[in-house]
Formats: sequence, C-alpha cells, structure tokens
Amino acid sequence: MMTWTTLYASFLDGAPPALPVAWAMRVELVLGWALVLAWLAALLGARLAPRWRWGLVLLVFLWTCIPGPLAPAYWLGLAFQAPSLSAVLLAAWGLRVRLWPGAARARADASPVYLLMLLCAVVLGYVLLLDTLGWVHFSLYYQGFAVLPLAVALGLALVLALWAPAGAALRLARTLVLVLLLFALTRLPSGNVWDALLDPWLWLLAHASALRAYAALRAAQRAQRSA
Amino acid sequence: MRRLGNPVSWLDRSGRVHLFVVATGLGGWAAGRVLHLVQSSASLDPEQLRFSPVRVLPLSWFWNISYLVRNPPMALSDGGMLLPAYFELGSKFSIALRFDAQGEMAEMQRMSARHHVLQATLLPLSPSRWLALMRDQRPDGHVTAALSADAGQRWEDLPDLELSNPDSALAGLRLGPQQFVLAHNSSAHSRAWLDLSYSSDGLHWATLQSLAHGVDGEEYSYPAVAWSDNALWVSFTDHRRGIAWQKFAAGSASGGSRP
Repeated sequence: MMTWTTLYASFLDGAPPALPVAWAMRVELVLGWALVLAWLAALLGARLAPRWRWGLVLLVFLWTCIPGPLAPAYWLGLAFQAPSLSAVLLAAWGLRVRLWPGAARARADASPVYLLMLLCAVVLGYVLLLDTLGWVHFSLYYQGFAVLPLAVALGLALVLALWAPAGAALRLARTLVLVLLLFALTRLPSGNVWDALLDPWLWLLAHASALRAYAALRAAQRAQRSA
Repeated sequence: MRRLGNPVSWLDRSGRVHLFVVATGLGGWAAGRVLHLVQSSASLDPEQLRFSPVRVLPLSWFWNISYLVRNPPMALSDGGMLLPAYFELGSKFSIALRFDAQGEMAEMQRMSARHHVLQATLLPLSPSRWLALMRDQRPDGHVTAALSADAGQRWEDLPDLELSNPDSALAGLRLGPQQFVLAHNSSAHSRAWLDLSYSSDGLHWATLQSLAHGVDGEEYSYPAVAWSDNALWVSFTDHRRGIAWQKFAAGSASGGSRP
C-alpha cells in the first residue's frame, strides 16, 4: 500500500527527468536572447522617435538571430546558456510596453503582495546558489526535475493570479502561470522548473525590483499617514 | 565552446558511443560544463566516427558552471551506467549521475557531504555495494572514500584511507571479485611518485608496482586504467607534456612507453 511518504517520493524523484529536445533548446536560446536584447535596446532607445526606436529594436532582434559567432546569442549562450522563460516573457511584455504607446507602463506598485513575490524570487535564488555551491544537502536543484515542485508552483501562481490586487502583482502572477504552463508543455529551457522560473540575471534584477517596490510601499505608507 | 577536455566514453545498450567532455567557454577551466555527445555515424571505425551534441548536462542553477568529469563510468546491470562528476568552484564535491540503457540522464546524487573531495573513481564491491574513492584537496590529504550500500540510492562518507593523496587524481578498476587496482600518487606532498596498488576490499591497499618514481619537481599524474586484451593498461601524464603508458599482462609488466 502506498503511504504518504512513498507518494511524496514518487512525485519528487520517481521518474527520470524529462529533458527538452536539442533543437527546441537551440530555438529558445536564440529567440530568448533576441527578445531580451531587443527589450534592452528599447530601453536604451526610449528617447528616440518611434520610427528609430522600432528600427533599433528590429536590428538588434535580427542581429541576435544570425547563426554563428557574429551574433550576440552565440556568446551569451556560451557564457550564460539560455535565459529563463520568465525572463523571456517579461522581456516580451516590456517590449510591448515600450513599443506600443498606450500599453500599461510598469510601475513599482505599493503592493505588499508584489513585494512578497519579489522577495520569494530573491530568497529562491539564494537557496539555489547555496545548493550550487554544495551548502544545501537536500539538492533543491535536482528536485526541480520532478512533478511536485511544478505542481506546487503552478498552484501558488494560480492562487496569486486569482487573488492578487490589480497592478504589478497581478501581471507578475499571470506571467508566472504562463511560464509554468509553457514549461509543462515544452520543458524549456533545461527540463528543470527552477531554470524556467528564474535565471541568475533575472535574480539580480529581482533584487533591484524588490528594493524599488519596498521604497514605493514605504512612500505610500508615509503618504497615508500624513493624509 | 572554446576548449574540450577530459573525455569520458561509454557504449550504450544499442552499441552507440556516448562522449562526456568538459567544455570550457568564457571563464576557463573552472567554469567548464559537461557536454554530452552521442555517436552520429553508423561506423565505429575511428576514421569515420562522428558525434553530435545532445546537450550540456543540467546540473546546477548557476549556468551549470564548474561541473566536470574525469573518471570513466561504472556499468550497471540494467544496461545503464553511473558517471562520476564533480564541482570545483570554491567548494569541491563529487556527484554521481545515473544514465539509463539508452543514455538518458535518470538521476543525480551527491556522493559525499564533504567540501574538499573530487574526481571520484567508482569500484563495485558487489551488485549493490559501491565504493567511491576520491581526490583530497586538503593539505596532508588522504584518499577519501564514500560507500553506497543500496545501489546508489544513498551515499555515506567513510573514514579516510591510509593512502596519502597530494591533491591528485586517482584511477581505480575492479579486475574481478575482491580484486581491485588503484593508480595513485603515493607521496604526501608531490606528484613525483606514481604507484599501482592492489586491494581485496577497496579500503586497504598494498603497493603492487611502481609506475614512476621521480625527484621533487617532477610530475607523473592523472592516471587512467583499463582492462583490454587480457592485460591491464595504465596511462598517465609525464610532466604534463606527454602521455606515458604501461601494460601489465597476466601478472607482470610486459611493456610501456614514455614520450
């Protein structure tokens, strides 16, 4: 008879990891970096006229997609492998905001839920880093190949998507749901759910975003007190 | 990839050769990753043998950097194998990667809780009792050991062996039931001496043959051992300039070469 312990173990590490196929990994690496770099180009070209900004973004996107060592994707892939699905979707959303006037602009919402989500990303990154360096003995990274962490993360993201207040928290929750559904379908970028949710660059960005969200929250609280 | 090194080969159940190599990109050797390649040519003829990349093995969240392989895998009864790998950026520890008979990665286990051991060589004591002997990075180090009594489900550290280990690689091989050999640097503080030792339990070793005895400053290191054509073959680097080899046929040394 299956006990709770064996049921838990079967979800955690019962089956060999399902890894993505090589060609899909290659496509995600190139398109992922192309979107991230295009978003960075849109940020840098924020003061340009729309026509020039579009041109810059298209140029960077196409340049990144060129096969071989002339393209940034080649060198970025060599150093940092593929970006996480979260980074790719957030970059795609950022591009939409920058290129289409009238789209909702990203603001540091004064929302405790948003701050909590960013802090969770920051803490997750630290634990994964400690795991990489061998200072965590339960091998958190390897558990990311199993079904249970995906199911738990998807459940939490769905609850947040239904419950989070409108604004940055809701957008982030919806992005997470999309990331996890895409991961469940494709297993990109590596077959490991942590690689889909968070990469080290996005983790660094989460630090800055958390500080920004904290400052916004404090400012809102001060304004509320003085009102 | 800028450089490829430390190739480890394995023949899967369908006769395809798999290669696991350390691939270095930006950041050099310590930032290497393990690249898995599989035979893409129909022929095993070395002239026609070709490989295609499968993937960089997903071993850690931090861009998979600083995971390396060196020693050959241990064949398993299900047709799969256990590949020893290690992490070496700051903290040093060994892991075991289990592959199924088709060459798909099936499991990853840390072999030792210690942070100064690497480059495990695997010795099957029985079908379910496996021993890992590891290089020790500490000053005045000794060959370190970990044991799995349940076919790799869990590993536990054992007390250090009596063999000194001057932070240098070792290579072990099971020749038969209760017959193991180990090529290792035997002096405490240099790689000038390289010996071949013998054991019946994997834990207690006696010197069988000197492979190279140099003076301080000389180096004979990074041994590899293999059994083929009814002989034991030992190779090692000679002053990091070339590869020397020796062949031991049925009881006595019968040949060798240095570049």
